Amino acid sequence: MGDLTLLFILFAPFAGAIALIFVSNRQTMLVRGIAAGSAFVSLLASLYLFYAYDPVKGGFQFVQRFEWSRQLGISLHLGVDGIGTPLVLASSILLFAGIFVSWHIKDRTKEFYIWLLILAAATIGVFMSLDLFFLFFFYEMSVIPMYLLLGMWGSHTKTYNEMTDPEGLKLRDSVGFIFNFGSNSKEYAAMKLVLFLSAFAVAALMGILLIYKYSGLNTFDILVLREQAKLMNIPVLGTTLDKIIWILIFFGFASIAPLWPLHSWSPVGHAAAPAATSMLHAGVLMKLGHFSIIRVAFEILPETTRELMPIAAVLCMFSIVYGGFVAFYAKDTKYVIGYSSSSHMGYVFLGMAALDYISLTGAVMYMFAHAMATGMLFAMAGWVYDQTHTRDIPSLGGLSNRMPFISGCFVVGCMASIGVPGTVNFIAEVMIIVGSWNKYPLQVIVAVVGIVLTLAYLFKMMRGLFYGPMDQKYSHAHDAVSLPDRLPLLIMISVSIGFFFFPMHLYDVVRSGVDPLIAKITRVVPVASHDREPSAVKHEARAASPQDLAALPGDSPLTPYVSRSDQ
Amino acid sequence: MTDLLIKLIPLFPLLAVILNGFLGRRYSHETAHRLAWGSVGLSFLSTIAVFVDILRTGTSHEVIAYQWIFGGDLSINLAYLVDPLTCIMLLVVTGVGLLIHIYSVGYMHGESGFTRFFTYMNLFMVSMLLLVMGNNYVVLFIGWEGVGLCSYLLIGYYYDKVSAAKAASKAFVVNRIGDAGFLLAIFLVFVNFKTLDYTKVFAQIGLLSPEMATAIALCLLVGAVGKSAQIPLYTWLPDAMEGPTPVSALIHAATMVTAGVYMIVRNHVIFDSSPTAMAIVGIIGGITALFAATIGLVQTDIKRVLAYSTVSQLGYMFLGCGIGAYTAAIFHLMTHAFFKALLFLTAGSVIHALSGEQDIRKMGGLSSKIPWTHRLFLIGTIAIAGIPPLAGFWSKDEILAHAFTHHHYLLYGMAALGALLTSFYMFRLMYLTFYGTSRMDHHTEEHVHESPMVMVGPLMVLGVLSILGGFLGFPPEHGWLHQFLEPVAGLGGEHAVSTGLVLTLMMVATGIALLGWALAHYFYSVNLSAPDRLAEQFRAAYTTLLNKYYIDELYDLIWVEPTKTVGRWLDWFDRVVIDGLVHAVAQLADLVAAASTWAEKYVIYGGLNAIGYGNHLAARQWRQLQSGMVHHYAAVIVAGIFLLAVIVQLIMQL
Repeated sequence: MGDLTLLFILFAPFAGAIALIFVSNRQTMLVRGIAAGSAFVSLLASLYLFYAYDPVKGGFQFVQRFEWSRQLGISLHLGVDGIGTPLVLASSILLFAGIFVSWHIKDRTKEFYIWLLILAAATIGVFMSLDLFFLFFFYEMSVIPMYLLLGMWGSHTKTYNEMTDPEGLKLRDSVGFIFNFGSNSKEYAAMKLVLFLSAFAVAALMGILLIYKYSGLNTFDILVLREQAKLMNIPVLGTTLDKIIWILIFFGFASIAPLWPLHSWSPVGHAAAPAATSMLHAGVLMKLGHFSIIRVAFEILPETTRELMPIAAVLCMFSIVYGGFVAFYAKDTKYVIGYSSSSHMGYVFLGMAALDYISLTGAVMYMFAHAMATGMLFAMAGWVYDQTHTRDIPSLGGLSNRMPFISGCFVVGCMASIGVPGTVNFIAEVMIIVGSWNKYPLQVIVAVVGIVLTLAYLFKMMRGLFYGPMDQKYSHAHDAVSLPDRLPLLIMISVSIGFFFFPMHLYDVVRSGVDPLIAKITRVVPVASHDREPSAVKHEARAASPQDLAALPGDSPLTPYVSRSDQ
Repeated sequence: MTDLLIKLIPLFPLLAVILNGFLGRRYSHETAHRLAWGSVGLSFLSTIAVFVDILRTGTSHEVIAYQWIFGGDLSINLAYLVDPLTCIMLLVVTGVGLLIHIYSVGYMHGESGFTRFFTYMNLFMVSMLLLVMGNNYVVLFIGWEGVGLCSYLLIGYYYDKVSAAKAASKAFVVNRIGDAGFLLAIFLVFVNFKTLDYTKVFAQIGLLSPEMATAIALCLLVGAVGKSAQIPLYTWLPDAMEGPTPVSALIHAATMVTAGVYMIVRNHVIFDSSPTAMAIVGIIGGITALFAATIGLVQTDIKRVLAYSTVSQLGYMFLGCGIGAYTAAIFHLMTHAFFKALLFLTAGSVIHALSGEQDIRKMGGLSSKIPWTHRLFLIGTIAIAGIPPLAGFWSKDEILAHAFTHHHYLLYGMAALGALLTSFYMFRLMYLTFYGTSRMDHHTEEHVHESPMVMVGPLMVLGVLSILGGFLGFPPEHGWLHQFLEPVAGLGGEHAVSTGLVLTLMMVATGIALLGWALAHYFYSVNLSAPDRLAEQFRAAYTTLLNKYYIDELYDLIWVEPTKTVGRWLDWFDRVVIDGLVHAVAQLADLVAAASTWAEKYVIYGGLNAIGYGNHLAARQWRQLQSGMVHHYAAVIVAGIFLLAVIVQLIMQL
């Protein structure tokens, strides 16, 4: 495969989606086979990518470039660095697992798989785009399938069902119905999710266009922009342009992350979505936000990032605590997992905000780890829903008898989500917290308390679902017995546990992406220094490579690969 | 060779976990339990080999088993440090663990989930071995969390019982509160030393400021308090008795709950540099020792009495740590592992004999029906009560003596009073269970039977250890154990103490223990049945007894009842105030969560929906423009053209 690996990963799901168009919905096994096959090709290529990525060399590898519009400076420029590689792998693992989780979907199977494949492929596209135009293109492309997946294959909340008759007609007056939080239908969720994300995507798009216009380089290419864009010190509206761009980019992308208070689309969306969609949505779609902020804001505006990243440090605390408390109160399994995801994304923001080698590495590893953990939990919540047709925790209970396999996996899922040693989440969580301690001790304490909170609500949910006496009406519920039913859980569990015992390659890969980035952000001489002419300072800083910068006086040692070869 | 053996010690049970966990359903229960205890047995043999080697050469071993994360500024290995301290812990964990595994084969016979039980037990062994063997804080923490997880799984073993599920969650959550403190301690260590290896950290201890040392020590203490069930985080341990009895013996008496003590002794260098933290450790230990003992007086569940006694005994170990008697703490940890495992397992044997009955008010007179269980329980009781020459006496006396000779008179007083109560409630348990008249119902009584050999055998070994284990620390302060642990824990008392004082203290301790026994005997045996018979045999003694009867009433009035009342009150305090505090926090969390949800509902969602609804209303008005009548459109078009013409005209004029 060699250099074409990225094309395989990206276009295998698209090819599968196109092939599915020509298949009849009556040939169910063929439909599933094509979907699984294309996802499998993508998965194999991602595995190859992950292990063939050379962390010693670092930088962007497997680069592919196809000119699209010379006049506008747009090209399909693909490449992965140490940050993108594990996320590509996580996406293809979750896609493959998601195909099997939705194995029993009877209604319009073909269409479901088409949209699922497009959703995953678009997500993967963001992780490997080196061109701002295509980054945004894939980003938008990943939001649209959500609308259809939620609206057509989703499920209503309990309150909605209580407030409507079987035909879906309202039993209450319309204002009360609209204003009632609990009454969201799947259509409401779909609408809200797409509108919310699109609205904020517009902000990000404005940021991207401002970069394009004011860099004056006539290109969307991130590699060119990060070396040559001069966006600093252009006064606009009483502040400087780079700050405005940074704010637009940050909040534009942070909405999908989701950073408090921009999270309200997410739990509703999770709850309404079918299991496989929730998995991809919480597992990788949310990470698009963090990834895009790293790729755009960190790479192109490093100085501004250093100045403004404390914003994230403040907001992440709210994310962690608030999400945790609401999850504790929630009665709907998917709401609990949804709020827990938004709480956990606060940890990633904390790791990013500290701008430290260890903490950012931890943040990226946490994204990977959380993808597996939350993927498991959503897959199992989906299984329980399929079997019992309810997500209401108080009315469930005692399912351990009926589903020993699922309940066993649920324990593992909860442990992974909490970050108990034995799962890769532990490593990531500890790295975030250790790395952030020097800069944000208060946030670290909040984060540690947040872990206890996570434990409390996950255990409450686990007890509510699986232990205690069982209602007789669930006596027909089945365990996951066949291979297609068990496979997705087994894959995610083994990945989560496997990377705990063998984290070295993952660590190296992520570190190779994080090191030059942090070196660039933290080692440049402050722009605000008045005794030197600003542009000259920047010029020097840009000319220096990360290795040179490492030699500057400072406390943090760098280039782990050198020291490794010494050992 | 030794290095290889060290690496193998945790590997054997891990292998059994993998085999039983994945293939357990393919083969019979016999194969599963043989694998389970066989693997622990192999670990025990390896431990002995390592122990002999260390004994001969006197060097400790540091072995890197697996390079886990390394590179530049961060390097964490799965590495083992086997020094005398670890050696003692390893011998206790694998030795007692092996006996309990063998016992479980009989106890769990015929239970559903037999293989699952042994898988969890072996997983626990792996975690516990990692905990005591690790050479850095991360491995310690991994083991620490691992044992917590296994404890959770095993308490909730009977998952369809609501109380078991609740107890399991409670144990994990309360432990996790402690773990949060421990985690913070690890961060502080890393931030200060840039390494997490014990040897490197302890070598640089001089660089630490006293405030930072106190901070780290207190954070470590929070972790230890959670795991070792000390005030105020002990409430989970009595509830944890919902698990099967071998679990209570292995995890909640002999090994896991002592992890906190091990951790403090391991980090004693940090504690030594902070007198404040030391004082707090000692006070927590002293209060817990006394407090838990008072609660033990009024419990009626055989396992709960033992649970409170465990909490109390752990308090003695903490007290020992707090006054710098580390060797004595480890000594007591060891002897406690012997006699408390013995007590729990014999209690299990009683429960087994009575078809699951745990209430001591429904027992009595069992000594003749289950003689072996009775004898062994008696040995355990004498050992824990601190009557020489059994194991408990030597270790407990050493802590008490150390407290006295180092002028911690308050702590000594607490510990001595606790010892009296311990002796009293243990013998009370003994009398109510084994002596007197039977209070069992007829059906249960018919089925009483002695346990099979596979259960009694391990009990006998533990009985022997409970009798002889104390001589490892004989003579006090200069025994074999003290010399062996000297490189790690130091000798404790440097200044010489006169033999006379030591002997006096010993006699006092013995007296206290015997007094407890005598009181128990008096209240639970003598005044129940003895008066009539004794009155006829010894007429001279009769009046004395009669008088004593009045004294008994008096004692009852001024001592027993208040003691019981205080015990009951503390039990109430335990249930209402301390549990209430936990509930209050939960309620508060609930309240904040409700408030957050309210804000979510009416502010954030409401705001968004208001925008949406406003849009909807506007649209409803605007759609009236779309009337569908051609003349309306024509009128609008004409008006528009006219407007446009006016605008163009105006612009042209500008």
